[in-house]
Amino acid sequence: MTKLQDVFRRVLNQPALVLTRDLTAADVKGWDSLKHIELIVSIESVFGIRFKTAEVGDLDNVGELVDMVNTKTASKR
Amino acid sequence: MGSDSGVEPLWKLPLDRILAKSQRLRDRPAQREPAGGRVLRLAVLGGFNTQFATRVLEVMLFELGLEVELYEASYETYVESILNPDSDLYRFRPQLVLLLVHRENLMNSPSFAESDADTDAKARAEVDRWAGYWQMLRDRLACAIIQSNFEPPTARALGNLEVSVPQSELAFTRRVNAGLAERARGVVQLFDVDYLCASFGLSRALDASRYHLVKQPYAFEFLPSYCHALAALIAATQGRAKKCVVLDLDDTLWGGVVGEDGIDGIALGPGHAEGEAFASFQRYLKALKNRGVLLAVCSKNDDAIARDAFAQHPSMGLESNDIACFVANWEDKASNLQQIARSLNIGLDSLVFVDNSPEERHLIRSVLPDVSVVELPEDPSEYVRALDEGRYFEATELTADSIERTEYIRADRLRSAAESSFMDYGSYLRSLELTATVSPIDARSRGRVAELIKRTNQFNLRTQRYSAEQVEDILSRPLSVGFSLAVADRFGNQGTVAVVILTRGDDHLFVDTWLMSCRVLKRGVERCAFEQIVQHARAQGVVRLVGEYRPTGKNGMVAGLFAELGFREIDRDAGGTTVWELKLADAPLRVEHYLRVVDG
Repeated sequence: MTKLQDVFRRVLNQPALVLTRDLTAADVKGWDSLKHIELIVSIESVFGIRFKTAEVGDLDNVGELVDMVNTKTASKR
Repeated sequence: MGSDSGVEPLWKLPLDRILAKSQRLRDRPAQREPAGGRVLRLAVLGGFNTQFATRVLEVMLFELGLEVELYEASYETYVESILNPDSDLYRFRPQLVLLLVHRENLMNSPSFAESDADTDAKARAEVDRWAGYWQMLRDRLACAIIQSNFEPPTARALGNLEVSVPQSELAFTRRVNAGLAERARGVVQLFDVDYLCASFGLSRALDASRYHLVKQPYAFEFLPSYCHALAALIAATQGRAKKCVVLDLDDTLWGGVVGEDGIDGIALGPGHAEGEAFASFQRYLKALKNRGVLLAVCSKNDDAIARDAFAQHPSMGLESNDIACFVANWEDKASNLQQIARSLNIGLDSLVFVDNSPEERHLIRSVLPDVSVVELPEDPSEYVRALDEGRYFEATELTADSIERTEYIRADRLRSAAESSFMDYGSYLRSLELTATVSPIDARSRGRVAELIKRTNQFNLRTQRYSAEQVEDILSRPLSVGFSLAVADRFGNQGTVAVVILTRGDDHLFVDTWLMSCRVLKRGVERCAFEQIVQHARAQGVVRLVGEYRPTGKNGMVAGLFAELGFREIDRDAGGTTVWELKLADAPLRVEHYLRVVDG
């Protein structure tokens, strides 16, 4: 979560942003569809994972994203 | 801003780091006057979602000292924005238009069932379509245009047959690319995405998932390379390409230390894998020299030993004549680089430094930040790639003058030697037997004229970076005048060295462009050009000549030119731009210079 929060802070340029599981794009200023892709690209490069086409659009909140990152990093090992 | 580590080039950083820089760049308070010159009005018309590419491009251009004001069309409407004369694109009035396309933008795809003739017609229709957009943009904007070509398909329904069956996607794409290349010459600059994808690896360069998600066909990992190459091309259209490679010798041009190992002991040429690698690097450098890039040597060596290696070694690909400036001594390299720049009459920001020693590279990076430093890999087999992929020497045209450049510089050396043997400067100039050939700017000379317009930074009064097409547009206006001067003397031909463009006002001629290559400074060429300007003004019967000087940080040498020629300052703005006039009645009848003038 901390690692993920760092990515969010950097990409959205909000150093004080705190991630919670129920946070959605609508709650965060500047988290639009383009920033979303930028977040995905950064998360992929930081965690060394790759999202499927459908997965990128289906995320409803930060909790789902955390779970997905966890599943993907676990299956990598 | 600068690269974070200082060593890794910007375009090798991961995309998210570059995007973070882009955020900082965009969040910056608006600049009134950029440090390095004026703002370039740049329109990006993309056949795909260019929002990511544009942000990366902006960072790359900033790193190259170019500030841009951007207009970005949506990929759904980029064609309409060209076709509709009332579109925001035309209101924006860009100086440079980027047409960035990918293979999904091809409209005339062939089918396997149709005849060769029909496929051929479709390829021609496709090329005509793009050439039509160029024409339309130029008719309405007088702008320069960069057009990307098309990447090949990743998948081949016909397998290897795709290469030979014209109806296949691969063959069709290649045909369209070839057609674009033919039509682009002298009209637009082609951005060779086809090559870039091949060089990066086509399957790595494209990313279907991203395309389906955000309509951007390129992999995010590829975007930095794509934008780096594009930025280099844009920089070249703005006269920011590098001009000279400065080369170390030991372990850079050959393996080993010639002062210790002797000429027979250095690794160079056949019979030795590492020797082959150095020989192949020299061949690449020779090709650079042959197309007009200057080569200089800066080596910690005994001068005689270093020169001897060039003269004696049988596998030396470069000859001493290929080197425009040869410096081998024990001084520090920063001072030597400054001296090389001075002696070649170019700025430090025109130099690319190639040296295998990390210490020397570090020194140059810290002391002379304007010099581009190649992070040379340890393996000499990688030298060619390392230098080439820096994309330092993009050119918009290959002209006879650029090919001869090193020869001109060498003749300069002989002139300097001759100069020192004369007591007074006038008799030295007379002894040169200078001839100026004055030619109107026409289709034949437009390419060289545009090249000079792009490359000349110092003797340049207004630094208007016109493309060949823009020059053509200006000269099509009534009573406008454009001429160039080619200079020769007893040491050789110097080619076209000066360009003047005059536009007509109600009672005056305006000096729109006046620039001169610094090679011919202090030979009276500027006075000869002035004489021509006055003659044109008299021929048109105007009352005044009006000139303008716009400071750029590089053209200080001509700040006082109009005053020297008898002009009177009539206006000055806060940015230091001055406007000057000369009443024709006060203009001299004959201007003293030492050139014999002939009409070209």
